[in-house]
Amino acid sequence: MKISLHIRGTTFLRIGISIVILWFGVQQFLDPTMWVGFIPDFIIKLSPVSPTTLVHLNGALELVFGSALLLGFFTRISALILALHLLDITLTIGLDSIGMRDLGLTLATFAIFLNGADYISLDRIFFFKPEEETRI
Amino acid sequence: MNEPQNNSIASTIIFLCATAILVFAITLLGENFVTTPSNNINKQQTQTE
Repeated sequence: MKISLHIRGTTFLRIGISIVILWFGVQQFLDPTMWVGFIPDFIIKLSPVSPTTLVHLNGALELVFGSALLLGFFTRISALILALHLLDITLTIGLDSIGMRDLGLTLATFAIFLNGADYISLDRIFFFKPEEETRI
Repeated sequence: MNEPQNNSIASTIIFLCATAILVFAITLLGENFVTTPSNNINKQQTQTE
């Protein structure tokens, strides 16, 4: 039996980015007060809910789409939504050292959107046609 | 690279609706069940009152 150690870059990138997203999502539930400072003032003024709830909402969004990305479930749409979310964060923070790091994450997530579903994903199980399996 | 092409618009819409419900549910769970420092502060305040 042959065991291949070859890991596709697309899978590695998808799982790596999803771990980062999930970590941030979990942190926003564990200590939301730490993240309230990142919400722009105008959103707090416009929002009918408390800043803590906004952090929970943001954390839930990251947990759901981060999980979808980790599992490779609706990979393209999940990656696009997360890339737009990260772009919004980047623009809010501004292009300082932290913003440039976030820009890197945004571009990496956008690369997942461009790649689409890879071979170790639920999309493969649900959406690949049987004839495409033979061409892997 | 071979990619799944038959992600129909309908299944994408169902996925997005399901994620919206999940996001809402997780937010509610976070609001009510996850112990946070702010919740502790609120509890302490009500106790002192």
